[in-house]
Amino acid sequence: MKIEAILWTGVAVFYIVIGLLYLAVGGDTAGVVLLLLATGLGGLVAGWVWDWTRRNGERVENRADVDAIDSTGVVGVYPTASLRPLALAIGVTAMFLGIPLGSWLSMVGIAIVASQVLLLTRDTDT
Amino acid sequence: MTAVDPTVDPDREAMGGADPDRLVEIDDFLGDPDAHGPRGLPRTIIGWLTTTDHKALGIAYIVTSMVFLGIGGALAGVIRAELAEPGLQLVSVETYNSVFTIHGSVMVYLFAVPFGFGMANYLLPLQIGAPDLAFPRLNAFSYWLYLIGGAVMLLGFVADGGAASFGWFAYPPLSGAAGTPGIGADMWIVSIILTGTSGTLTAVNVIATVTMMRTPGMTLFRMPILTWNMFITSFMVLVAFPVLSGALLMLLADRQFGTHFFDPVDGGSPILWQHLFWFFGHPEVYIVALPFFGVVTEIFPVFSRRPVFGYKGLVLATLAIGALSTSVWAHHMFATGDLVLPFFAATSLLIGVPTGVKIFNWIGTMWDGSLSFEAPMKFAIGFLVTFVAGGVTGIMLASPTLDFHLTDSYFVVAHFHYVMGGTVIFAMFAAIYFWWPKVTGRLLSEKLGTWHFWLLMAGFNVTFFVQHLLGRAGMPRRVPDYRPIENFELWNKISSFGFLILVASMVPFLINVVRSLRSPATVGADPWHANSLEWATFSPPADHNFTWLPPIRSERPVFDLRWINFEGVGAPTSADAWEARHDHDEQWLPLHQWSDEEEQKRTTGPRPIERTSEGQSSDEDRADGDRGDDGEEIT
Amino acid sequence: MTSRSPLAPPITDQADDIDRVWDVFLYLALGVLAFVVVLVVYVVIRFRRRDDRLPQQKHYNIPLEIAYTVVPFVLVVGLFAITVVTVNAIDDTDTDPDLTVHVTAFQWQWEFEYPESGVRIIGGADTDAPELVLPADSSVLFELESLDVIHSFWITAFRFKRDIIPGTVTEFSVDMSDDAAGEYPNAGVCAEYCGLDHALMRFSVRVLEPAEFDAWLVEQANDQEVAG
Repeated sequence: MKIEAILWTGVAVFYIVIGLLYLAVGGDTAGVVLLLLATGLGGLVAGWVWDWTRRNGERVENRADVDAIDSTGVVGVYPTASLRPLALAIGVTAMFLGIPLGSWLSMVGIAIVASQVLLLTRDTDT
Repeated sequence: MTAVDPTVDPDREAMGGADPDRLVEIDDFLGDPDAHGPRGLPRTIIGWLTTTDHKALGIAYIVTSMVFLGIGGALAGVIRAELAEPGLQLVSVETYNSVFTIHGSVMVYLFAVPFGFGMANYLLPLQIGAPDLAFPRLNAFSYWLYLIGGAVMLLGFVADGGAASFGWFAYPPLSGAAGTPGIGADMWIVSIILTGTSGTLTAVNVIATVTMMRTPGMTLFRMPILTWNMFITSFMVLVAFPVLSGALLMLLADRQFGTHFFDPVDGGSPILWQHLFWFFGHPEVYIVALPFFGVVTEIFPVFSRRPVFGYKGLVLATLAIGALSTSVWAHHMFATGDLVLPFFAATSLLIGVPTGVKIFNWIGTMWDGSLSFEAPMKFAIGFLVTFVAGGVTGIMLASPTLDFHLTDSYFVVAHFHYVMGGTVIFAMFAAIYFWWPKVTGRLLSEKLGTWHFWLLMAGFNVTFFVQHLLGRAGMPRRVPDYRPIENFELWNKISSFGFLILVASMVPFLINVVRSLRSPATVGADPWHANSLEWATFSPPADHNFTWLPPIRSERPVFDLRWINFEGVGAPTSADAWEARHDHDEQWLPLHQWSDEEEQKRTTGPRPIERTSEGQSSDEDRADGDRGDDGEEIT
Repeated sequence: MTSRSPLAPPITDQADDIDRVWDVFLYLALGVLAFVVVLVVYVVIRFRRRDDRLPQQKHYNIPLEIAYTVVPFVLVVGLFAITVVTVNAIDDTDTDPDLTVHVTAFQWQWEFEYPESGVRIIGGADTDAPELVLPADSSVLFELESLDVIHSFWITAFRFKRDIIPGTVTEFSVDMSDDAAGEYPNAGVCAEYCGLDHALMRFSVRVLEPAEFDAWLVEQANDQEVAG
């Protein structure tokens, strides 16, 4: 994960440099703020990756001399087919469409989203 | 045996007179394609509505975005028909304004970006040896949000007052409640919020997948360039899309709740919108383009039989483009005069450098190669030429001196149709012809592909080249009518005629697709003799992608395996891998095999995907009702 | 461009400069395009597949890679230098002009006002495109104001446009060439999409010799006094 960490740190450094440069040449406030926020985004991921690497060490996947055979075991648990994503998407759409079309639609949307999120968390328990 | 990084490997001698019998065929490793459970796409409607499989969702993305391409293309037809003659003939001004707004919005938000995400969905896990994306349900959610969000935009046409009509960048105050009343405009805003959110979620998914799910040996600098570009694109999405969503929420609040973010009458700032929008909008251009750069970087090496030239330089160039693209936004605003012009001129011109590097990387890949011109290669070369033509006008527009005259004219229209339209279309078809055998198990006709290519090349350039002249001569964009000045009419007629050729070029393509789908699926794993991991599985791939993985010692694992009997050609592989070549009848790295029992379980609960060193024993382990307690963590 | 071009000739000193920069960029762009196309055609012909042999598997060539990074970089620095020099001259607003024109844009017409003499020319919905009259061989300052949405004041013969943002007054100045006199019937348009009849927001430009212009201004002032 070292390279990833360096990569994301580089992102943060780039944005802080360009952000300060833009500030120095008299850039607009919105632009400066956005560039500094991008610094934060890069820093956030970089921090997470550094921390992960510190706690877990280098991943076997990142070594140049390993084969798939060297990392046996569970790769991941994959969910089965599910109607929840579709229902959730309909709910979110209704939520936003309610803003111009009428708050009743937003209410329906919120109900769908809440119920589906609840069911989704229960799904992964089993 | 120690690993050798091929990028620091000494020059390798050309192979002369290679004995074809000693070449390794991937199919020999894979065995019976149907011995590992079901392959291919869902067969029922319920199956499609509930799928979380990255391949099914990838196809859904791609098909949906192609449908939107058709709709956007039809709207373009209305525009070109109206402009074929001065005056108003075909549609009312109101309709025309909606048509060009939705044309732009559909092409940018609903076609180009989602097509890239579709490729990311389908190909990225395959290219890094993963069984799926990191978050399959999130992925399904993203897709449905995109589809429904897109439908909301188009439904604007039937809303009271018609669809949004303020152009795809929706400058307030025109896009405010007074400038554009009507529900259609609000639906447009909601639609972009939804599809933007969908894109952001997909980006998170891609970044998590690339970071955590690469197969052992697939180091960052062995990833295929397409995967790299998707990774960088996803980062740009994370920077750019939330800004757009935020700005759109502000705009929606202005329209619906009476706030005054962008309303100059009450102290708001229309310029603020432009900064926010273009902070999204310029990265967006590269978000559209980078996946397609990745596509051609996959194709050139395969049909040149050469490695990517300057792999690391190419990755660095892409990183530079990604970084710089978020600091050039205000070059869309030069004409406002309220800017630090030199800063944005410098960054905008500078971004031409890494872009130029890419072009030479591509030519360098073909240089000294052994080039064959199957349809994917034709389209990739078409892409290259189109892209350079669009790139050089980009340099002109990066200079405010020239941009003051050219911006908001047809010159800009021509420029971005070359860089966003042409390159995307050419690279998209290159991708379709290239990965079609992998996805369907069938080939497309080369003869029809050739017709398709040349018609597209002619149609595209006839349509858009004259628009440079129109813009320089003073035709503004977004007009349904123009004065019958000398040459304006002629050039517009040429452009409209070119559009007809463009439409005609789709005929051989569609015939090709239909004919291919009716033929039996007989193609093996690796029909092109390609390089990256997606060719190391069946066509179409097995459920959860791999039953077996070759050793990964370079960015071309499949190439290395094919040439494993020739020392000094591919990257040397490990001792295990050398061992394996001697009896590759035996599956030396089965990842997964299906039992009936498991097949049943597949439909009732989550299941772990394991890598085991011995094939059969893993089935028993899992039959013990292993419902994933120990499998939560992706290792 | 040939004489058949519908593009109006440049009528300000700034436009002359811009056209010179245009030529530099244009020929460079065509050169780069031609270079790459020739390279691609060469590669396609020279390296087409002749037999089944595997070509040389060269991954990189550091000196060459540095070269094709540095050369575009140098070109870009050169273009940047040209840009900065010219753009500063173009963007420099003349605080003591010979003439000030106050332009008001509104959906979907123009009003041109000459504040020193109080002359106003307003385009109406049912009238022909309004005509902007300017003196040759003088410096002119344009103050731009919008009553509703964003417009953009584009005179093709200036090779220049400036956006008109509601809530602020934007401005720019030009030095009219001494040989600028003439009629430019198609030279002015609104370049920023501004709603329904955006396409009809056009105007014409007429440039008079300074003396004729003064006479015209007096005549207009008298006419408008009579009418008003």
